Order: sequence, then structure tokens, then C-alpha cells
Amino acid sequence: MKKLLILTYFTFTIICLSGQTQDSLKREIELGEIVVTATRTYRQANDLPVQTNSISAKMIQNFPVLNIDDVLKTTANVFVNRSWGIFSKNAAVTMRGLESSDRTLILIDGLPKNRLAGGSVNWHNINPDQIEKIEIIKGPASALYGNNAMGGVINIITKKPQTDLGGNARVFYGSHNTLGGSVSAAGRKFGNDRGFYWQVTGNYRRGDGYVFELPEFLDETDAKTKLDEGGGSLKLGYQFNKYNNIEFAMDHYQEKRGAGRQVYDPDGSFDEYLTNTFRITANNLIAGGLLQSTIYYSAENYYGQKESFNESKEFKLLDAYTDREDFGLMSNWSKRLSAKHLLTAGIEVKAGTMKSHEIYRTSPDEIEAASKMIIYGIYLQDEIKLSPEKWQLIAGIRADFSNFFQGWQRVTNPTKSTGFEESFYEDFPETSWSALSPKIALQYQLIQQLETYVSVGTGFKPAKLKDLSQSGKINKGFRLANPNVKPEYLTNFEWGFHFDPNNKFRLSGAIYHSIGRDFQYSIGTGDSVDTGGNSLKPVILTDNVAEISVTGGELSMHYLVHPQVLFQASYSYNNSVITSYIPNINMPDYNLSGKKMTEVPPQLFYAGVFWQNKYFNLNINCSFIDEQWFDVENTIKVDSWFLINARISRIFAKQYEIYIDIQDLLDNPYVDRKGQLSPGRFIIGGINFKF
Amino acid sequence: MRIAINFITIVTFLAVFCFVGCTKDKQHPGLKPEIMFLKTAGLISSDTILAINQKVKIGIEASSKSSAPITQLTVISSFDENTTSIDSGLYSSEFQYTIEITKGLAETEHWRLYVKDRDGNYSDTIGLKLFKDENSGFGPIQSFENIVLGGQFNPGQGSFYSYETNHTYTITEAYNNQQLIDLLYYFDLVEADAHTIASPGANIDQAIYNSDLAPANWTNRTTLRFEYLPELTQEDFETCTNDSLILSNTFVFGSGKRKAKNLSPGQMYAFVSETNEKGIFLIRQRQGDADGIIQFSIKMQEP
Repeated sequence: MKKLLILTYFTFTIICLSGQTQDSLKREIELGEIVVTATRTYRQANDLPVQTNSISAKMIQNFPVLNIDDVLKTTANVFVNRSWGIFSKNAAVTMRGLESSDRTLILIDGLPKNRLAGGSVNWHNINPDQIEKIEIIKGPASALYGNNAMGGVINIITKKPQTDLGGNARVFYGSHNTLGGSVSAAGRKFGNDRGFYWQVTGNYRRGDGYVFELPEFLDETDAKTKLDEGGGSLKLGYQFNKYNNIEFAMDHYQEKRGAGRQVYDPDGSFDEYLTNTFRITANNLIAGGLLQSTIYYSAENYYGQKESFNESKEFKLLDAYTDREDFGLMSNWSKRLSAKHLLTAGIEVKAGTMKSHEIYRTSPDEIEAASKMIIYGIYLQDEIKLSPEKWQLIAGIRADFSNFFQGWQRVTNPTKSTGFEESFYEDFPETSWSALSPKIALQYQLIQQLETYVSVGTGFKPAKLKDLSQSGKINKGFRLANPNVKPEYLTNFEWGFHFDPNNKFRLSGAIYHSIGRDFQYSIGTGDSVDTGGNSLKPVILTDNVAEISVTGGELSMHYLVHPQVLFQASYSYNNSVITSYIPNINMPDYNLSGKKMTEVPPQLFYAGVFWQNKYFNLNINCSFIDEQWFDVENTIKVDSWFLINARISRIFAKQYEIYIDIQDLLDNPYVDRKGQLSPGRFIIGGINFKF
Repeated sequence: MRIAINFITIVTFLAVFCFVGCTKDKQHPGLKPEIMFLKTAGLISSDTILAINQKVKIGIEASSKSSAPITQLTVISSFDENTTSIDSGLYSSEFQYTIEITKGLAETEHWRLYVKDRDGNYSDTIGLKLFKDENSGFGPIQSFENIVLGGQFNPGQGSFYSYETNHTYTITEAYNNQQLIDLLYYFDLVEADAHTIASPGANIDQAIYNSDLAPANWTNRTTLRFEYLPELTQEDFETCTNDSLILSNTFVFGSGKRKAKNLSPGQMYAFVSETNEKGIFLIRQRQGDADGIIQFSIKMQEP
């Protein structure tokens, strides 16, 4: 670490003392943006009755981004929980005071990254170098997007080739012997808006990791969180004319992350993911409207090796395999019917499968499970300019119908390792449900620079296939499959404004009250299983047991202090409460009414400044994450934390950029919700070459 | 010139990228491991005739034939139609293991053993048969009648019991005589557990006792395992004068539960200690909850 700090110091000095080429000063810092995600039509962000944020490729380039979710911290009311930094198995991104990352819909080029099977959204297979823009829409948006769009929608839009031939290559090295690189090349052969384009990318990263256990709990099995990941992508397209094109894209990613424990196997405990995604998208001008159709297929193969000693010093080794597949068809058509009406309609079919197999290598237990789900959605939206034209109304509605089927689980030769009494096979009954998601928003332009709106929106989240059909040991205890879990629903009432007095300053904010019903919670049934060792594992069941409310507000400010200095700040507050708890027959009657929702920090604060000058580009930012409850009974709190991150870079010889990213500049590790330490100060330095 | 510089730069980056990107997969040939009986003094390795309750030892030696270590030993003991598996939690390319067996009531006991390696490859199964000596009889038992244990918050009656001394102990006394304590009684608010008899090594939450002297903090904890006997009648228990009833209802230690939960009068449980002490207890009566009492009787093999 000392060597790395010295190296960082010298690099920093070189960056600061020499001038960078004037080309870099041409980078613009933009305030206004066109966004497409809020309405599925091209609209200016500050002309929409919703809180939106747009993060451009230029912002990403100038931000200390080790994973793409890092940049989401700049957005008001978005909580990114990645406590082990790049060594985290995943990042939990939540919005608007709703716990659990599957209450936020994540899209990449319009395709859902949330899997119907459940599991975390994999942020690692998104290469920051390939991002054109990230659009963030706050509040429920199921009227357009269906499942999971409760807290909001994050749409990550990838770059398209803009030149005949171009690309970049990057290598980097940093803390904990982390090193890697990425390459990309893209080109197009165009004439009169017609032609072929292509793009190939590859990236790789590895690191030794660190020991995340607190010093007082360290034992001989605690190990470093190793990391080894890489992938590649291919994009091919043909542009027929300005409005018609077809594009094929595929993405492959493989990662292996240590889980911080090693007993006998040299690799210790680890998680390994292999992800492949394919999509074909066509844009056509049909009947005077723009039709976008996509078919996609995405498969994620998970393998986890988990080894440990239990408290009786009995060695335990488990292999866990889970295959998750998602495929679907989406078609969206938008047409301006008149000067006052912009109509959008669409259909979607989303299907997901899950198959899991847990093999206990130190006992004869095996648990297998599988299930499928299909969701059919249809939606309609009208964007209406009212008279006088200071009024705008957006109204939409979506209907979703779903079926859960072919669900089963098999337990073979159970022992105390799994806690089941005997071998069995169980077929789960087929179930179906539907959801109707309306939204209406009315905006009024008070003066040219100030717009205000009120809206009522709805969101829903279906049960995850893993909650419906997969039993087995989890971190918090022993999960029982529950095929009876139904969707949960949220209704949001919101007032907001956009204040844009000039091209240098923008302020936007909202206050809202959300009411949730049939909320899915994982609650201890009061029973426990003896899985060996000296601690009993509580039996946990997910069911629709709670009604909740979230009352909150957010404020977001952008100020272009100088043509080359941009200041950003945001603050949000959420009071997320369980208003009533309605246990099912298998659950004890806990008194959860009035308890705060877990893993929701009431206050989030972010402030950051971008500064570009002839010597270097600098971003320095800080974020405050308020304390949060760990458990539903509100007995254990996770402390708040405050981080300062920075990035300094300079461009030389027009094509080269040298940079240093520093996360947690003050080296102030915090303890996360699992009681484990963040890595503290983390420094990465690299060179980027563009051609 | 510019194209040449670009080309060289790209090739350099690609070389670095490929160099750091190559990883090596583990190899798993899939050869099955081997297992055989140890043939040394004091161990049996072939079919044998034994008297009821006679103790013998079986030894095995297992070795992996691939890079995958052995992670599991399974011992299957067939008493009539009952089969029990025991896992032992291993991670070794070769190891030796010894098991002590007490001959039960069955005419023939078939003991089979096999190992599994880390990749799921199973060895062949080896086995031997233990035949009952027709001339052998049942062994003597000792009875402990009407033992009364108090709930954990009963100020007047100890919650801990030692069948070695046939005495009850308060929590302070038990803490000071940890090695003697075999059984304890408590009441749990969790409905499925309620009135519970267990041993100190049964993972009992410290919150049950709300005391630093709780078994969770003991350094010396005896562990017994239990199995519910719903088919047995109280008359069976009362008329038992030798260990036939105990032997016909016993089980392999590893397959039993650590607690006898939700107890009510008339229920009977078999128990086995880590050192293979075997017995049965009958619940006679129960009063109150955490401040109440439970009364029970024990019949167990003489040491």
C-alpha cells in the first residue's frame, strides 16, 4: 500500500505540473438532456412530469468509476450498496426508500436486467467505456414497464459507432494488486444514412482482494476476496435509412469472486457467474409511427463453492448450481396523432426459468428445484398538450397477466446439513395473477423557467422464482419455498418541480407519499433447524405480509459555476415504515407495525465537483449514507458512513489519457449490513488510449 | 506513421490484456476413490457372531485416486428395514477411520461403508455382517424414577440433572459441575419448542436463561440425542426389566435430534449419549411453564 501511495503521489505530481492538450477542453459539460425512458418517446428531461436524471458518457469518463453502478451515487434518492468495492459479489441499487434491488427496474438498451428468477442484478458485466448514457426515472413506472418498476427505472444505453473506425484500449493497476484492461473497436460504412456498423469489445480484471472480517472476529479460515472476471461483446447493425435499422448484439461475461473464506480448497469459497445475452432489435417507421421491436435471450449460469467450519468445527462443503434464463419479446410503437397527442402503445412477453441444484459434498444431501414464469403485458399511453399550452397531461395504463408453472423441488438424503426430516419430491401448483398499473401526471408551466407537476403512479413486483420454489440454506437462515407468494403493489402520489432559470443552474425536486400493499417480506416462522454447529438456523419464509408507506422528498441541483466547473449536489429523505403486518398462518404474530423498513438509509447526501483545466480534469465528490436498520424488528442498526472519492486525469498526445481513481480518499472503512468491512482507500491508476 | 503508432499501441494493449486474462481450470479426472477394511488387532473386518450389547470396532482406510479429496464417509447400518447415514465432514486425499459398534437385537446387522470425493465420485461399498449369538441374553438396566426438574425461572427447583449422581442442580451448581450434567429442562416461548428436555450441548440460546451461566457459555458440554417413540406404551416402559426395550428402540447417535421438544405427559423418548450410553425416558407430569416443573423417569443400560 505504501508503494502504491508513493506511485500515486508521483503520478499526481506529473499530471499537475504538465499541461494537457487543448483538445480535452472541448469536452462540454451539459445540463439539459433528451431522455427516452420516462415516456418511451424522445423528451427533454426538464419538460417531464417526473424526476429524471441523465448521466452522459462524459460524466462517466470523469467520475471515479470502478463499476458502472458507482456513478449512480450522483443521483438523488438512489442508494448504491457496494460495501466491498469491486470485490462485492453484487451491488444493491435501490431507489426512493424501497429496500431490495428488485424493486428498481434496471434496463440495458431497453432490456430488463432484473431476472424473473430473482437474484441480484449483475452490474459487473456492464463495461463503463461502452456507455453512451444512463437515464434514471424516479418513482413507479409499471404503467409503461410492468414488473419491478416500483422505486424507479434505470436505463443504460450503450454506444453506437460514430466514425468509420475507432476504439480504445485501457490498462490499469491498483490497490490489492488489482489489474486489468479493456479493448474495443468499432466502425461503420455509411452513405446517405444507409450502411453497416459493428463493434467488438473485451475486458478483463483481476485482484487479490482483502480480508473483510473485523479484526476481533478473524479466524484461520478468513481469506481475501479474490476477483477474476472478463468478457466480450459484439454488436452488428444495418441502417436502412434514418428511421429503419436492425441490430444484433451479444454479450458474454464470466466472473469469479472470492467469498472471503478458505478452509481446505485452494480457491476457498467463491461465486462464479457465466452470463450470455443475445438480442435483435429492429426500428421501423410504420403507419407514421416509430416501431421498436426486440427479441432477447439471456442466460446466467451460477456456480458457488461454499466451504466452512461450523461452530462445532465440522467441515462443510457445498456446491450450488443455478441456471437462470430470461427471454422475451418487446414491441413499442409511438405516433404523434396530432399536435396535441403523442400516442405510445406496446406489448411485451417476458419469460423466465430457474433450475437449481445444491450438492452437499460433506454429507449426502441434495436439493433440486425448478420453475418457470411468463408475463404478458400490454400498455397504452397518451402525452397530451392541453389548452392553454402551459398544461401537459400524461396518462397511461398497463395490464400484466402472469403464470407460474412447472415448479417442483426434490430433497434427497437430507441430514442435519439441510435440516429436512426426510427425502421428498414436491410439485408446486400452477398459479396465475394479474396487475393493472395506471399512471396519470399533470404538469403546469408557471413561468418559462419553472414547471410543476402532480402525479399518481403505480408499480408492482412479482414474486421471484427462487422465493416460490427454492428451499435451502441462506445467509440469514433456512429458506422455505413458498409457491403462494403473490405480487406486491405500490401507489405513489407526488408533487414535483423543475427550475431551470438559465443554462447554468438547474434545481429539481419532489415530495411524495407511497403506499404499498401485499409487500413481500422474508420473515422467520419462529421455527428453526439444527444444521450442526452451535447455532440454530431460523426458518425463513417469504410472503405477502406487510402494508408499507414511504413518505419522502428529494432535491437535486446542478450548477455550472464556470464553463469548466460543474457542481452537483443532491439530498433525499425517506421515512419507510411498515404500517401493518398481516402474518400468514405459519408465521408468528410479530409486532412489526410502525417498524422502519430494513436497509433503507433515511437520508442520502451527495456533493461533487467536476473541474476541467489545461492541466488536468478533476472530480472530487462526497457522499453520506445515513444509518439503517438491519432487521425487521428494528433491534440492530448499521452505522452511517461518509466517503470522499476522487478522480484526476489528463490527456496527452491527443489520444492518451492517464488517470487515477481514488475511492474512500480518507481511508475510513465502514462496517456494512453483514458486519463486514469495506476495503478503505482504494486506488487505481491507468492509461487509456483512443484511436 | 500515425497508423503504425496506433497499430503498435493496440497490439501492446492486446498483449497485456491476453497475458492477464489467461486462467487455468482445475482438472477433475473422475476416478473413483477406494475404501478397504483395516486389518489390525482389535478391529473386525469380516462377518462376525456377537452377543447382544457386545461392542466391537470396525476400521477403514480410504484414498482418493484423483486430485479430488475425499469429503464424505457414509456408514449405513441396517436394523431390519431402517437405514441410517452418517456424514463425518472430511477433506483429505487419504484417511483412516474407526467406528465402535454395539450389537443390537437384530438377528443380522449389515454394516456398509463407502466414501465420496469432492467431485461426487463414489467408491465401491464394502460391508460386513454381524450375527446375533443365539446364546446371548439381555443386559441389566438402571431406573431413575420421578425425577423433577424445574423450568429455567423456577427459583425452588434445579433445572439440570446428572444420571451419574442422580441429583438435580441449579444453574449455578450446574455451571460449577459441567462435566456431570446430562439433561436439562426449559420452557421456550416458541410454540413448536415449548417444554424441552435436552443436554447442555444442544445449541440452547443464551436468551432462554438470560444468564451468563447458561450452557452456551460452558466449556464442558455433554451432548445427548433423542428420538421420539410414539408407538411405545406406558405399560411397555413400566414392565421393562432388562435392556431389550432400549435396544429395540435405540438409534445411531448422529441421526437423533438434539432436543426433545413440546413434551407432554405420557410421551417417551429414546436417548443416546456421545459415549453410547442408551436409555428411554417417560414424561410423568408437567406443571407451569418457565417457572414450573416437569417430572419424568429414566430407564437406561447399566454401564
